[in-house]
Amino acid sequence: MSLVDIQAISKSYGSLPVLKDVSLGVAKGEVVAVIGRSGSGKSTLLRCINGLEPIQAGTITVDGVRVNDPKTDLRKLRQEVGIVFQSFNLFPHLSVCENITLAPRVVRKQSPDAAREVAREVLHRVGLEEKLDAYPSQLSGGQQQRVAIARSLAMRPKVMLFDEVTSALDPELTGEVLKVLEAGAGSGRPGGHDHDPRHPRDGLRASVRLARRLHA
Amino acid sequence: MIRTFSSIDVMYLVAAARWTLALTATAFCGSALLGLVLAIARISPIAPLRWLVAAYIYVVQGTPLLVWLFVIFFGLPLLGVSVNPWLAAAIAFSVYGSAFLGEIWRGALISIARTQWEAAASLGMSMSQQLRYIIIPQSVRIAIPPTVGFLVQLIKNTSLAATIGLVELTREGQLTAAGTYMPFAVFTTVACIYFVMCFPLTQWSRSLERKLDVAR
Ligand SMILES: Nc1ncnc2c1ncn2[C@@H]1O[C@H](COP(=O)(O)OP(=O)(O)OP(=O)(O)O)[C@@H](O)[C@H]1O
Ligand SMILES: [Mg+2]
Repeated sequence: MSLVDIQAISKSYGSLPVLKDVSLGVAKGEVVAVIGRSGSGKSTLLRCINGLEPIQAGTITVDGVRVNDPKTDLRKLRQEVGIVFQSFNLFPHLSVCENITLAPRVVRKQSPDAAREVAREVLHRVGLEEKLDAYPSQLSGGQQQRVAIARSLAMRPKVMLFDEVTSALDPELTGEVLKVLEAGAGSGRPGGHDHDPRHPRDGLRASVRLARRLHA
Repeated sequence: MIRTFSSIDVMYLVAAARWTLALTATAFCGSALLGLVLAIARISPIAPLRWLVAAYIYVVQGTPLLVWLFVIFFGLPLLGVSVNPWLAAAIAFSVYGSAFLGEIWRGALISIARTQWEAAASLGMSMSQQLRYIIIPQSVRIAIPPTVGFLVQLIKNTSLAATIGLVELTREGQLTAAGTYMPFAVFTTVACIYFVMCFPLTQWSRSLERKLDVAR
């Protein structure tokens, strides 16, 4: 069974339909890229998967848990579903280290030392160990994006959602970061598996990667 | 017996100012505790709670503080609850202050971008963890200047407690004026003492505002 299973979902913002009858399955270890033109609903799709946006029809199941079931504990679900936002959304009042260690400490109850170790390790993977004590405002866009990736990785989620994963990176770094993501997926396969989510609008272009990473 | 307004009287006024400060401190603590609860209730997802708190705030802000002092000081004894001037003043000022601080802090809380809540929620943090670690620390910066401004208003407003017989700075001034028949000299001194208490706070609030503007 798919780790992420999206069945015929529809989503609209008020009277604006964004997703119409979209279905998608992502298996364990699989890397899927969702592509589509600007405004086509890629970010919306990812936000639906971790329950940030309600859907009007269909079902989303992550690791057997129904996202849109009122009985579902979204907090628990979100611990297993990492997301890197298009605008990163780092916490500006916290250092890079604190950005990364906060959730492992307060949500996963890791000790500060253990959390800091994990922070070092994930920062190393995105090539930013030297920025451990910097603040987000002191980082470039690409660096912020990599910290956001590290912040998600530190929770060791079962599923990772990347919105515009390489938008803020130069071509050289894009390769690096994609390698990190592929290593995370543990598939060893180069490149992702592109998938057409049967979007209402056409003209699809590479843009968002919906990636799945194996539990380390 | 008529005596002249001497340095001893000034000493008594300064001593009475301690009660002004004590009432201010008590009222500020009461206002802050209740105000924080109100501010959070105002942004809670539970609509009836929001309406209830909004109603409380509108009622308190739409009625004079002096009336609250009288209602509590003269009204509670009618219900069989005995109150001394100190307790009545502490309650009345806390009720009044909580409505103002509640609004100030609600404004500060909602000025934090929704994406910060989302980023925290996506890491599996609970509502209270999101508030405690992400939203409140960022809104404190915004809330400090208006909160200090409120504190200055509070110091001056505690003079209303003189009307129910609490011997703070203004009441001591009234007593001294009655004893010396030198109301002009006495109340000028009283004004100076209020000014000495308020002015540094006003300046501090200004400098904080400037700092925040620069930081932005
Ligand atoms: N909160 C919202 N309220 C109302 N409409 C929204 C909201 N968020 C997105 N939309 C609309 O939904 C549509 C899809 O937006 P979305 O952000 O998912 O697009 P996208 O595919 O991620 O685009 P891009 O490549 O530019 O990031 C757009 O038309 C957008 O205007
Ligand atoms: Mg987008």
